Amino acid sequence: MDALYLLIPLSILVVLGVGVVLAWSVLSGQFDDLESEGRRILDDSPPAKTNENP
Amino acid sequence: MPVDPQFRKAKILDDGGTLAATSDAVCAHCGDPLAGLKVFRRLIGGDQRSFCCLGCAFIAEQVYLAQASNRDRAALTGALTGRAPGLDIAPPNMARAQVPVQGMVCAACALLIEHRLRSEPGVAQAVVDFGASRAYVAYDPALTSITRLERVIERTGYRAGAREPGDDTRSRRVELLRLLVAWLVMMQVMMLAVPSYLASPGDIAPDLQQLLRVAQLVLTLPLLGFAALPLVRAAVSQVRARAIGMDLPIVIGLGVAFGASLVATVRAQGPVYFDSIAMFIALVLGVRWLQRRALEAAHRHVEAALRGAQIVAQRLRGYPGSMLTEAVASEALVLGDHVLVPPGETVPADGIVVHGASTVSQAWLTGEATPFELATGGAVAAGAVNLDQPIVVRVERAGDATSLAALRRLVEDASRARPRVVEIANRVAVLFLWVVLGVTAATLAGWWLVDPARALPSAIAVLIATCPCALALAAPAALAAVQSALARRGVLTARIAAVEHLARVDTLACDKTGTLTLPVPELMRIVPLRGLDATALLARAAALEALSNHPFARALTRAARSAGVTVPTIAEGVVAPAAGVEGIVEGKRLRIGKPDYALGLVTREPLPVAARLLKRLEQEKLRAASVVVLADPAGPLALFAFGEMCRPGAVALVQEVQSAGIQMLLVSGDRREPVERVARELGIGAEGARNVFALQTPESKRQIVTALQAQGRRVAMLGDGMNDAPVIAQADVSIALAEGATLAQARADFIALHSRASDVAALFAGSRKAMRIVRQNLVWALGYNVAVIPLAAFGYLTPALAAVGMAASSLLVVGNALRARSIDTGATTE
Repeated sequence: MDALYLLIPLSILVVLGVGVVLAWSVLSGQFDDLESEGRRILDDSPPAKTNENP
Repeated sequence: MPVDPQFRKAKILDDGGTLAATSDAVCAHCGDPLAGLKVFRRLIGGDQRSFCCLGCAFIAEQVYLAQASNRDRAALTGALTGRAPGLDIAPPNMARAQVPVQGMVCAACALLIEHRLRSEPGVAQAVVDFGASRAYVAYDPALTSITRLERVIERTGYRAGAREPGDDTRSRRVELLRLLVAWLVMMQVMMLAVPSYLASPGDIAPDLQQLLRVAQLVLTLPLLGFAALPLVRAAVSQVRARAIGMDLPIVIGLGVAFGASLVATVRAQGPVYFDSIAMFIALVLGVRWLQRRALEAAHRHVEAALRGAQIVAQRLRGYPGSMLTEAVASEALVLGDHVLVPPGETVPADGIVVHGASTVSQAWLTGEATPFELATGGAVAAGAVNLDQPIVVRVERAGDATSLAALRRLVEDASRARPRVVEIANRVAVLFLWVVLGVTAATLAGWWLVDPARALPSAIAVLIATCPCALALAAPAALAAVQSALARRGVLTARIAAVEHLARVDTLACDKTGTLTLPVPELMRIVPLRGLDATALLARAAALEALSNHPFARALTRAARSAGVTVPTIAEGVVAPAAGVEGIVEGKRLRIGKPDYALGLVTREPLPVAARLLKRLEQEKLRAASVVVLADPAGPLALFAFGEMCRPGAVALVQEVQSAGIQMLLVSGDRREPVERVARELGIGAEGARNVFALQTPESKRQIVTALQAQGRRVAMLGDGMNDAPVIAQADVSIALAEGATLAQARADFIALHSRASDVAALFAGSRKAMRIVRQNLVWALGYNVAVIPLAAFGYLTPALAAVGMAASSLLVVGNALRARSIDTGATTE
């Protein structure tokens, strides 16, 4: 059971890490449009040359 | 509105447009001095005005447009009904404005802002739309100003005014992040909380238990500090505005639970309730997210349709000297412009026909889709569709001043009222808060006298047990569930309150044309007159009608195509506006069209021929039907009767609605025969003719609805959403079947995008189910809270048990609400 004294704090750190990654991904707009990305593979038109920031 | 002298003062500035002002000029909107500032100029209502900033300029423009359209709408409604039919028309001298409001978290915030705005001097009406994040205000410009109203909103705790571009996406992302963080933390806290539920006392070492407590505390901090921030803010602004809503008792309950847990953690003994806090916040945010998304989807659809409805006008630059046209957006037209409207196109502005004559359809304004004839000098409204001949129209009113624009604005005004159930829950909250605080104080005092050691735990148990979390979730969760289910079927909810109204409707008034029947007429019957072959006659008629754009002509050519006949060629074809077509087919001169016109070709004594034709029409029971006559110089050749086809699914809809105990009415502006035929086909009015009304004007339809309401009935109106403004305003609920172009003008509580009759049946079933669930939820939530108060107060319920009960109650309510996502509609299938 002694392992818990290490594992619980570690798990909290992991959760905090996940939270930071989540914040970054949401705030950078990765969840803004969940529908059209999935359909993009079906789109035949050539991709745009430069990929500018949204 | 007379131009304020201040506006004139600002005009003395030099013509650079962005140079410094040197005089005592002030901003035309907010009245701040302009000296030394960069000046923004706008042409408003024919006057150039100067503003201190882009914001003021924008708002002043909006105010002007709103005033113009308001006058217009008042005139329009007055013309339609003779008096105001219950539409919100601001009293004279009132200005109307839309103010964007940021930072609302729920419908209660909207109610609060409304409340504050209404108590402001000079404000006649204030309605806040939570879904569109907008406040609609009618105010007296002499008593107050937009800037002052914005300050009121700011003081209430929200942000007002035009938002920064991108601000919207940012706030949406933050909302999503709050939701995700809440669920992430909730799962972790649950995991850490499970051991203390499963273990019997003494199983877990005290320091391990303390570790679990601290871990939960650490995880709960971001939850309260970030995810639950909107709840806390709402509660704070409710306190500040002295308008108690549901959020305050919730935040008090959460705060007490957190405080007790915090104390237990610091003292390293006693139970903690972090798991209940986490779960409740996650559930509330989840429900609000769903509701917000459903509302946003509805608004997006309507806005997209409005953008798609931009009309391109053919402006005649040199009229009458030249007929050269240029294509401009209809918004760019100004008074006195001349526009060419080719057949099949939409009239871009209100105006007078100065050249040509034609048949036009003004279905969206006058009611029935029956086209009417328009001669030179006649007035035509924007949005009318020209069916026959090219006409030249002189613009009388353009852009935002047209009646079309005024009607469009109503779409924006649609989602205002909040459901009564949500408001009741909110009103109950105030009472609830006082009862809970009173009981808590009594518990504390009572136990203090009996057993001081148990006073605090019992008081905390009361506060946690009575946290009205389930009550707060009861109605919104079910409404959000049914809205998203309807949206998946293509039925948009423009006004959430309408779900509640629809569930209580006992009478459904139906428009006929375009609603129960398909919007275009079909060829129903061919009557050959001189023993000729029907197919050959159809071919000849189709050859003539190929030239015309009239709905009957198109129905005839459609019928010829589906019958597979070869259409002969036509020579010397001439279209007579609003009458028919003449031409030479297979070597013979023929005419098709209205009886008088077609018989005009007949050379031998015309009166007996006409009399015989009339007799024949009588025999065939076609006298009142829509009949087109094909004739050659020797006399009439054939009669073509047109009628409407019932929409697929209409019969099932009528059956379902009637079997649900709702009385069906057919209310139409059409003639008696076709209306009764459709009623028979659909099975409406089996027990007598009192259910079928023909030859109705929009105003008489409104009177029918008013009379029914006076008998205590709740009436829903089902129409194509474009016409009958008075009826739609009068009915308790309105449903529109709208697709394509008509969506732009549709204004109703519900808009069925695919125009399927089965969707309407689903709408009825869904709203009834949702309201049943709301009632169950409210009864459960209130009953549970009331039942546990004595248990907690007398010490039978520990705070830990109270927390479990609160969480279970919330889960039960949300689970029950999710049932509204599946709508069973009896027999109909997709």
